[in-house]
Amino acid sequence: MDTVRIAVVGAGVMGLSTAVCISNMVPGCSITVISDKFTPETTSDVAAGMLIPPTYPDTPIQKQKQWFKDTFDHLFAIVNSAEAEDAGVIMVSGWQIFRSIPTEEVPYWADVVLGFRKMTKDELKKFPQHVFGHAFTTLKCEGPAYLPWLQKRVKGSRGLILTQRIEDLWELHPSFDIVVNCSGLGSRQLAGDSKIFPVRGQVLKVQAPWVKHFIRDSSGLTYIYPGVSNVTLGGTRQKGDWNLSPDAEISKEILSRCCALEPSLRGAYDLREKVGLRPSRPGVRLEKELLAQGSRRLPVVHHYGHGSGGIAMHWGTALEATRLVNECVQVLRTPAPKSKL
Amino acid sequence: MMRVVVIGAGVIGLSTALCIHERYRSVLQSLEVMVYADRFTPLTTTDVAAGLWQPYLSEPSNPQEANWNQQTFNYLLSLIGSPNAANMGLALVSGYNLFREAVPDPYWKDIVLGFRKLTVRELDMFPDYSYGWFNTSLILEGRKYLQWLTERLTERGVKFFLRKVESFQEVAREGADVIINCTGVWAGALQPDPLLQPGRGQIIKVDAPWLKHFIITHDPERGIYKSPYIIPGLQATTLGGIFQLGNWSETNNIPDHNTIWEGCCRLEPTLKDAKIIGEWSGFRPVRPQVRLEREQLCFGSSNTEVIHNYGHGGFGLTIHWGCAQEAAKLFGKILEERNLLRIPPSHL
Repeated sequence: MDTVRIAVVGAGVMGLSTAVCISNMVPGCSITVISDKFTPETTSDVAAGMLIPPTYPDTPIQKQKQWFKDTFDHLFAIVNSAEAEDAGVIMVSGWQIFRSIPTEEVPYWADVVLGFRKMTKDELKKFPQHVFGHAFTTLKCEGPAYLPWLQKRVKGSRGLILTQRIEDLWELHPSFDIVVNCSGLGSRQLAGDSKIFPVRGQVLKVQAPWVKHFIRDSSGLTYIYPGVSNVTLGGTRQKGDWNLSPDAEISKEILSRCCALEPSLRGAYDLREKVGLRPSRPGVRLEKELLAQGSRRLPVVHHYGHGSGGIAMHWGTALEATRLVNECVQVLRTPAPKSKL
Repeated sequence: MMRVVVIGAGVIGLSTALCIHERYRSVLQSLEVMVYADRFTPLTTTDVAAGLWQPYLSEPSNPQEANWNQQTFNYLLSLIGSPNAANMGLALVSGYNLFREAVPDPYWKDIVLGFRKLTVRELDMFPDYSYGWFNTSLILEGRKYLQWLTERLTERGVKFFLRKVESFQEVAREGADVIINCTGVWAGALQPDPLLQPGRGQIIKVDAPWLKHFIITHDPERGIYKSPYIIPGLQATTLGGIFQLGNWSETNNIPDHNTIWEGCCRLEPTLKDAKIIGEWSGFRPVRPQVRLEREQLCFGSSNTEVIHNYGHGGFGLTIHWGCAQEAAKLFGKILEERNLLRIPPSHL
């Protein structure tokens, strides 16, 4: 059996986790991760990494729930092991608070996280502007530790990691048999996908080690996420904004909104501004495509477009991407007169 | 001139001094409060405590103690929203109480926030335990709180003196009208108290910032604090699980270190990566009930009032404010009896 040569484009959480899944689940492959950016310079490094999933309008709820559950289960196993600190995965409890009672009081992911329940009246007293809330325990998965941990696993399965900027997927032909496209916003160019656009997020990473709980306003605009060695304060959702430079006025405004929810943050020190561009799309693009140019053929599995739900959904979608890769591998290995794709 | 001497500068001494000064300074012609202690922060018993607000599981023999616990929690909770909370050593913290079998809910379940039983998936995280609770409580870190109390008292002109008091008489002879006895586990040196015993504890402080929850295990056969516990503080995390009644050894010992380390690593395997910051021993001032009462002592021709406030076991921080307020009330009675009040005190 010939080794199937697989190129994974992109080294954010999607590229690396898909590479690991493929090496775990698809026998007889060689994997090369190719990217121009690696941790700590990817979008995944800016993300707080809270496992609180968004809702993708174009995706059936059951599927989203499965993605989230697969990711949660995968990270839960890590957090309960001695590797948790290496992998940058922690457990954190807290509250999601609402200024008005939501139509859907119990979200689809309520039984995936731990101990989900509605906030009591006494708990809500802490947030006088809010009338309703969820209390639960979830996970936080931090890019700057998790991505290196994944990279170690890729290398451990004899995968290669290459620094290179790909301008066109055909550059990978004929060196590779299958391409897995995890290039996030890069797919605008690489896949000619006009549906993907940035949603700019600015955050502050601060020192406030006394903050032990997450607090998230249901709008998703204001949040406080305590992590291993800093607290992420956010944020913004600026559609179509490609600017990667932090804006000082926005930082002031984020700090002010967060201090309104957690006054002790006025004592936060060592504030660092970060910007990430969420690779947003009405739905995650998770599908095969057979690129054709003359007589050349290049099977591609697209795996991108997770918007604000990258970390929250990554393992579930990586598993699905791996199944699609496996299908491509089967086709390549089947001596069929006609292509099955 | 009302001269008050507080003996003891742990959480009980300093909070009682503050409570009395806050309530009565404005209603007295003149009030002088002094704190005498042979140990100040960071060398007090309070400094060794992890600082988690949590009473013992069983109801106290003196029901007032339950009220004092509740008053303390409510008082601290009201300060949580202030920008100064972290400076006081105060923060909200959630976590787990773990048991090997089902137990009744504690009497304080409605005092803490969001009390509930653990779900099956949560219990799966702790293979040695089969039952438990989750709730949100408070951390009040001893060292930071004592520093904060010291600042507040200093602002008010309260003076501190490093001295070892040998007797109530010596303090009375110097002119003290009221003595507040907050000497903790060493109260027996001033007045024998066979009910008071040291409950020696040893703790390891580590740097484990990824831990955001407290985990307290219980072994009813062994008794309180004899089972591993992990309590994250504002910066460092406290590991413990030692309670030795009658042991006056203030030095750390290796068998206890191993008991704590092995027990806690078993509970939380990631601790293997935690850097050890230090190790400390302290004596919980154990008593069947808190001694919070007045006593009149006769030295020669004058009567000196003593207010005893000691014997808070392993729940000093948990109960301190309720006791301070009660001590202040007793002080107020003394003032009334001596016709010293200019105007009636505010009923806080």
